[in-house]
This record gives sequence, structure tokens and C-alpha cells, in this order.
Amino acid sequence: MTKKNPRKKKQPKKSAPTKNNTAGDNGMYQSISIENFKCFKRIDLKNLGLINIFFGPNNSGKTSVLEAVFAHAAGANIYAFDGQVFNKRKNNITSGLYDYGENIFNMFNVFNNPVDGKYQFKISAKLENNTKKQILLNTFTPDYVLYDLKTELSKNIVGPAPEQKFIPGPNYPGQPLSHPGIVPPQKIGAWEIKVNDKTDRYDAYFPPNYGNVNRNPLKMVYVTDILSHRDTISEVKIYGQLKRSNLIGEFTSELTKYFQEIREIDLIPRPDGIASSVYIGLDNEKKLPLSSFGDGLRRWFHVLGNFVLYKNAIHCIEEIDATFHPEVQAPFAKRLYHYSKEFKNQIFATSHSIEFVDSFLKSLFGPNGAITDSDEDPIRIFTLDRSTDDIGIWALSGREAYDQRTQYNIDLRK
Amino acid sequence: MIIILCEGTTDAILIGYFLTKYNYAYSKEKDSPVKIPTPKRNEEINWYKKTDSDPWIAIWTVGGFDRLGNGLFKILSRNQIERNKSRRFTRIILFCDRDQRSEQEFQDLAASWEKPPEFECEKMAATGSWSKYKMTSINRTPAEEMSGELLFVAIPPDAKGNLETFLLEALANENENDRHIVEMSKKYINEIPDTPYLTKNRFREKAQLGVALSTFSPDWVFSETDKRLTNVDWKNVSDVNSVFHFFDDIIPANK
Repeated sequence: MTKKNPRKKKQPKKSAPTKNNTAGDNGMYQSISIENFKCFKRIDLKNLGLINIFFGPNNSGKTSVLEAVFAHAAGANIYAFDGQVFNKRKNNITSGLYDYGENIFNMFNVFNNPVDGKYQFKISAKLENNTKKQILLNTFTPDYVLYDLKTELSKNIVGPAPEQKFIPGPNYPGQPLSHPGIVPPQKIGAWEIKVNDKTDRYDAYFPPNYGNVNRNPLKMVYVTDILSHRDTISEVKIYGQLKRSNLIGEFTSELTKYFQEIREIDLIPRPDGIASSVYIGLDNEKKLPLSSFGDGLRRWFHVLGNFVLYKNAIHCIEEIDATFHPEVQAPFAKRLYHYSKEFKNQIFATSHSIEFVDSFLKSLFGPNGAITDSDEDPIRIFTLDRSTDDIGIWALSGREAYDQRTQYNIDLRK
Repeated sequence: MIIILCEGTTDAILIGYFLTKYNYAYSKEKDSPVKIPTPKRNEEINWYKKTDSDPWIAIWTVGGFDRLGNGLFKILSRNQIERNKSRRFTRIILFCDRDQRSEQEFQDLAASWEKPPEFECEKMAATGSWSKYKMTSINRTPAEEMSGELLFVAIPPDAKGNLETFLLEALANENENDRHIVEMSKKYINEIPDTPYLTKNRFREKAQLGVALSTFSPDWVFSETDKRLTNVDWKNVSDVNSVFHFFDDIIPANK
């Protein structure tokens, strides 16, 4: 094996994309197979619906499913993949090169030993408007500098002590990846991202810098985690889109039903005239910034607002039930369904709340539910189950789930 | 969890009586860990609980022998969709009257019952001994193998008849005085014409038991049948106690 000079500075390779993919309208995901990705050796999610909710105990892989969906949808858009998948769980903050390297290794199934020093995962999916499966093959070849993190890589290596392998510099604990600052770039490996028959190669650096990448994703995808609703900039973006879509009235009237003190939603410039904030007008004529309200109201605004902002997209929502009072869950669920349908958004969501799913299913399939017997069932409830050696998936349609809950009181959470 | 499917209320009362002797206590349905749909009017499920570490036991009165197969199918179907092992019924007891059926007839009837796909059970309706069953989950990929045990308890265990005739016979076998009362009860009821009250032989057998029980405990004569029935110390009626020895299998230590 050729040893690389650890002290040789190398600038990030500016990868020239061969040809842009077009996101186009690939439609909804119909099935997805995930191989060697995180906790999954292999998992097949078939017969996906408009709204897919994932249950399972902690560490069963719910969030990993969302990440796999994101990774696939991102395709060769490596910045999205980098920021949203393997660094997101640490809020895109790293304590250094090894920490960052470990995040990369953690993308791959722990039981999947590298072949020829390469780590690989594969996600293939059938989308509505494609006749062929869309196959994403991500391969990472770590450089010598990361070998100490993986015994299977370092066992045959005789080399300098770890601290001599990379360019010495100050320790940068808490260094945000999006602001690399003065850390000198260090090559740590190479990525090969193959989407169907097109392959892009990127040198991987710490801090990450893939050059001027301009690749379209396979499908627009947006992630909502449990704190995304606290982003005040997206509040303004959502307000703007609601206004442009003439939906602010409908949106306000829905909110008013369940948050009764609300009279209007407004955008008010700050005194400097430059920036604006979303304000909520109350019955008592006062206006307060949306950011001063509780998480339930803000998350309603954020999740449903993003459905209008990012149409014809995949929405990955972590803990979809989080922050909602039981009385608000059913109307939220109903609106979620209507907005998904209206704006052609497909949802992949995780949850731990059986109360939420009961409200959700009842609002859709119960008496006076939004979905009638003659409608196609757009809901899927998946439960990830690690009680046996493999990871099993219990898969139900919405109506099946509703029947199992009401007739047998089956705990869908496992 | 354990479930005992029985034909009628008398069976359920007697089984419930024995459960209390094994320190199990009746529990309200709302506290039960799982739900079983019982749409028929004459169906009822009673739940019993001992301690948190002991399994729940349910007694399901299905409303007649003809409905036992349907009840079993519902329980097995429920097991197939239950994700949590501790909420599956791994021991199922079918408690029924033998009537005039031979062992072969039990086998033939059980063979005709609807069963979940891939269900396997050798000697499913062999009375008096546990049979192991296997099946696979549905809605799960890969399918999960599930197993459990089935017990068919036919009353009387070794003669034709039903619960009422069996109990009367068991009481008669206790001592000469009791035998005399049982015989007199039978004689009295047999002399009453069919109409208007005893239009079926089954009613006659129930009435014979009722007269005998009222005589054994006259203080309880105005009580409902269940109270009169449970006022008898059945655990010390050796023939009856021997039928319920299956509780020793499902409740290992009588704490």
C-alpha cells in the first residue's frame, strides 16, 4: 500500500461535475431498499404511501430510515448529504478530524467490513415516475490518516504515531463545520457517489470542502427535526410562501380553531427596515413575535408551512407528534394529510406516541374521517422490530393499523 | 398470557372459581392488557390477575361449542399481529362439554375450523394433553415464527355428558348422603313434564344441578347461580379437582 505524505498540503479538489442530474418530477417513493447503511445490513420498505410513519424502540433505526431516504433523495448532492446525514446528529459541530472521520464511518453498517479498504452503502428506490430503480451507491475510501479509527484498516499498517499523521494545529473543539475558520484542510479520503450510471468522485477533506459542486438531487427533500421550528429565518420564508400562495388566510383560520387567541399572522419589518419577523396578532390587539410562542404553535406553523414552501417534495419529520397537545393532534393530522395531498408531498416521519397515531388514524379512518372506504389508503405504519436476530418490519396500511388499534389494541410501537 | 375458551357461563364460573383458589383475582376489563373483539351478545371475557410477574389469564365465554373454533381463530389471528411477545396468548385452553362426541369427532371438528395460514398443530383436539402449535406472524418481514401450546379439556374427561352431569356425578361420588341428594334431585326433575319449563334435555340437566346445589346450601337458595355454584368447595371434590389439574401446568406454584 502506498503511504501518502501526511505533511503535504493539498488543496481541495474542485470536482467538475460530469453532467447535472435533473430533479424533475420523479414522483413519490414507492419502495426503497437500504443496504449496509448504519444499523441496517439490509432493509426493504415496500408499498410506501403518501404518509409513512415509523415506530420502534430507541435505537431500532427509525431516524436512520429517514437519513437513508434523505441520502437517496440528495443523490450526488454531496454537501446536502454531508451536512444533513452524517453530521446532522451532532448539529454539524465537530471536535476534530477523528470525530468527523468517525461520523463518516458510522454511515456504514458496523458488520460490513471494508472491501479493499472501501466502505460502501447502497440505497435503491423505485419512484413513481421512473420505470427503473434509482440506485445510489456511496463509497468512501479512507486515507491512512483515519486508519487508527478502524482496527480492520490499521492492523497491517506500520506507520507514524497518530498525531504525526495529520497536519498539527490547534485543537478546535466545537468547530462548526459550516465555518471551517483557519483549520488547514486535511485530506482524509475519497468519496465516490454513483447515481445509476453516473459517477462523481470527490476528495474528502477535513474541514469538508468538495469544491464547486452543482448536482441536482434526485428529489427535493426537507428534514424537520424536533427543534427545526425554532429557526426564525424559515418562519419568514414560510410566511412569504404562504402569502404568495394566497394561503395565509386559510392557514390563519386553521390555526385560530385550535389556538384560539390568534387573530392574524403578519410580517413586520424591524425598526432598521432591513429584516422582518413573523408576528402573531392576538385578540387583545397585541402583536407578539412567533418566536415568543410555545413550541406547539411554532411547530404547526413550521411543519405545515414547509409543505407549502417545499411542494412536490419529500418531508422527513422526526418525532412528528412532538410538542402537540392531544387536542391539537387530530386537527394537525388532518391538515397534514390534506396538505400532503394538495402539495404532493410525501412524508417519512418517526414517532413514539401511540396517542398521536390513534388521533391521526381516527381523524382519517374513524367516524367522519377524511378518508372514505372508496378512497385509496395513503397511510403506512411501519414498526421496526429488533426482537429477533434480523431487523424486522411490521408494515400496515392506515386502515389495517386503525383496525388493529380499535379491535385488538395492538401496540404499534412494539 | 393464557386464555381459556369455554362454551357457557357455568363453565366460566367454575373456571373462575378455580382461578381464585390459585390466588388469581378478577380484574376489570379496562385494566386488561389487550383487547379481543367479542361482538356476540352472549360472549364475555373475564380477566384474572395474580401478581405482576404472573401471566394474565382470560376466560372467554364464546357462547357454545360451535363458536369455539371461531374464538380460537381470533386468538391465533391476534397473536399473529401482536408485536410484543408478552402480549401473545401462548397457552390456549379449549374447555367444552364432551356430550356424545368421540375423540375422533373432536379431531374431525377441530380439523374443519378456520385456521391462520401456515398454522401447524399435531393432535390439535386430543383431549387432556397439551399440543404444541407453530405459525408465523403476518404483516412482518421477515415473518416471525411463533409457537404456543393448546389444551383441549372435554368434560367429563372419560365419559359422555356435560359439565352439569359431570358435577352432579362428582358430588354424588363424594359420600352416600350427597349421592342420595343428587339422585333425589334427578328423580324430582325427571318427573316434571317438558313444558313449559324443561323443554330441552339440557335444561333438565341444569335444573337437576340447581336443585342439588340449593339443597347443599339452602342459605344460598335465593342467590344467583354463580354464587350457589361457587359456594361448593369444588377443590375438595376429587373428581372435579382432577379435571382442573391443568392449572398446575399454567400456574406452577400455588402461592
